[in-house]
Amino acid sequence: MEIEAHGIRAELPRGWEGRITRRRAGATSGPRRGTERVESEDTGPVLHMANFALPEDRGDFGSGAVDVMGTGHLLVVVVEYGADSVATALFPVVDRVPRLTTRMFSPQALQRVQRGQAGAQRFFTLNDRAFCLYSVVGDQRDASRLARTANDVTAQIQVAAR
Amino acid sequence: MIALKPRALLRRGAPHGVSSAESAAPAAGPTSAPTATIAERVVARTAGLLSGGHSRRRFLARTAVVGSALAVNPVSFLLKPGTAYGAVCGTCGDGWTAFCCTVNGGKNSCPPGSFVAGWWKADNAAYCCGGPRYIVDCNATCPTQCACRCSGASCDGRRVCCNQFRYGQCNQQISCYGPVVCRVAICITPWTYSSACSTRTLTDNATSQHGANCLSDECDSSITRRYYALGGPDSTLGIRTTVERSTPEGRGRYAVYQGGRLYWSSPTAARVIGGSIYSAWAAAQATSGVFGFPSTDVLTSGDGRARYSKFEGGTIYSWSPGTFQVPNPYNLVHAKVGGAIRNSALGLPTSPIRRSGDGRSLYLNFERGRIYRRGSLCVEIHGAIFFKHESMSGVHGVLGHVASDVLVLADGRGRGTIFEHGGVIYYTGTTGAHALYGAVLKGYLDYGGWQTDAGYPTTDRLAVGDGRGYTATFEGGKSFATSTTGGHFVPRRILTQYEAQGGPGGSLRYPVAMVERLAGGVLRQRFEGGTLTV
Repeated sequence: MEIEAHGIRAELPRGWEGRITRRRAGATSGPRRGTERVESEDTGPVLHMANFALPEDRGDFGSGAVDVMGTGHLLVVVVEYGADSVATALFPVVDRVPRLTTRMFSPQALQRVQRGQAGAQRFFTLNDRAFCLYSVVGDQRDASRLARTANDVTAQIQVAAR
Repeated sequence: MIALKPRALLRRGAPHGVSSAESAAPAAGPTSAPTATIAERVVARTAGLLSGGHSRRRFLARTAVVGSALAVNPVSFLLKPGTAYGAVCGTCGDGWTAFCCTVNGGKNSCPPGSFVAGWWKADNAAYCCGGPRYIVDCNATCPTQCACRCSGASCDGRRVCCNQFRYGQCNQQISCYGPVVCRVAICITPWTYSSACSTRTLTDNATSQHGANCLSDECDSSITRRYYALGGPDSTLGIRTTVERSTPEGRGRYAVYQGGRLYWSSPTAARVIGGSIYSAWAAAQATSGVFGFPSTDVLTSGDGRARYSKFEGGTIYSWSPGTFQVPNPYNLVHAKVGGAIRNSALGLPTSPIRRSGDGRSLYLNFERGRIYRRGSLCVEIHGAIFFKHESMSGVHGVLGHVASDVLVLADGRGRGTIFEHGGVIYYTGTTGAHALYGAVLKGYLDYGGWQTDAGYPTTDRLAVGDGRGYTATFEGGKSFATSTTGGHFVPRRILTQYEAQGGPGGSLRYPVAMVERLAGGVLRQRFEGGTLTV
């Protein structure tokens, strides 16, 4: 099955779930420090893909979802940043979604460290759009196998030019 | 004028952000966080129940976050408050990173060796008066010096330098980074907190009630924004010690910090005050007193000698001789002649308000003069004119009380001050300050005063020495007066002949009329003993 929204298209393997969401920007605004200019928050598309049932109440980097992960589970998150992030040092320009290696998966590379889990994170700019790829495996011992799966899934992700 | 009231602040935090996710195929996105619950309605009562001797309960009771804990599971919380305590405080095993104030000497800021690296939002946070809360990650700089550990705190015993994760909206010029050292919790937008953060909002509502002993409630208010704009806990204000609250008279709000205070009112904005200036202001009843709210931060005088704060109703100065209040209208008069700028007419204040010996006026001393208040009149006197007045016994002397400011005369050269009985002290840079009064002054003014060839006085009013008359010398002549002749000015051309004939001691004795200007430039003046024509 294919999902597409906000210029992001992803192919979901059989048995996977996926969502591309974009939160409604809140009314929050504030002056940029050192200036009089008042700026409002903005939001971007967030892609969640998982080989398990995604709970509805999820944080953008998968909190809520990671709480229900177990052995064999894999979560792939792609978060888009604003235009001001494009091609900055943190978001190097690439020509495809970066691959994740087994060594990148670490039990410390998690927003919230949870027993047995391991995560990996890559920032990149693709087609003039800035993203973060974040992946979590439910069991670190599966990292080698699931890293390959993650790469297979992310290789199918297409990003339209801005 | 709008006073921010706690209820109003709570209302500002209406749920938003996640309530209507813009969904993409094939399924809807994250759903709304819960809005107001029964928990919020019982929070006050529960806080009361919890305020017993149990330390955990005391912690919860003194923070609005008890409302959040209740919101998570009110029944469980009421029956097993330890559960809520655990959710708020957290442990090393919960996988989250500790708050910076727990590991950074109480400061809710990134410690040395770390930088603001990213942030996320948690909506409906009790810590933020029901508004959005922002958790800012402080990631270690490269190469990383810190090692993974637990904070060791009894509350917020979470992890330090462990989680190698980055949210990424801040300081995107930095691509090499270490683990999250700690987290800063704020209620103002991250781009207001740090100019290095973008506005791209990422959300994780699971963290809205994460707490620590060193964190207390904070609203997104003018005071909070100003605090962080000044550098927050790393500024001279240091750590907040009293949460923001209303001022006693109800017109504004204030918060107390280790190194001073911030006061806010609608017309004056949020201003810093501290030290001896604060003490003097507090002694004058602070916002309830004549000074009202501060309208500036603590400023430094142009010559660097004094620190001062301006208020709605005056200025308070602190410098080496002491701290002095200058309320209005003294302050307005002082400001008119330069206030605290370098080499201003009056200079800096040197005394509190005093009452004159005759009880008819109040005055404030300054380095180079004085401001008197008498009835509705408030005037300043400074420089050579002030010292001349003082040399003549000041308000107790023949000139009496000051009746005008030091006036700059229209020729731009002279200055003059008028006194209550009509006397005047004139001053120029070449002639100095000289006092005139009575008929001698009248003769000078009848002639036309400083706007004529008479010029400015070069002496005070003096006795002639004959037991009868008085005189004063001017750049262009002399004025003579007696009780029988009145006062008349004798211009230089006539004066030369008059003095050649002995002046008032000669046969002509004293002038009895003003000089007459005849055709052909001829001058004529009548004296008691005859007439001179030149």
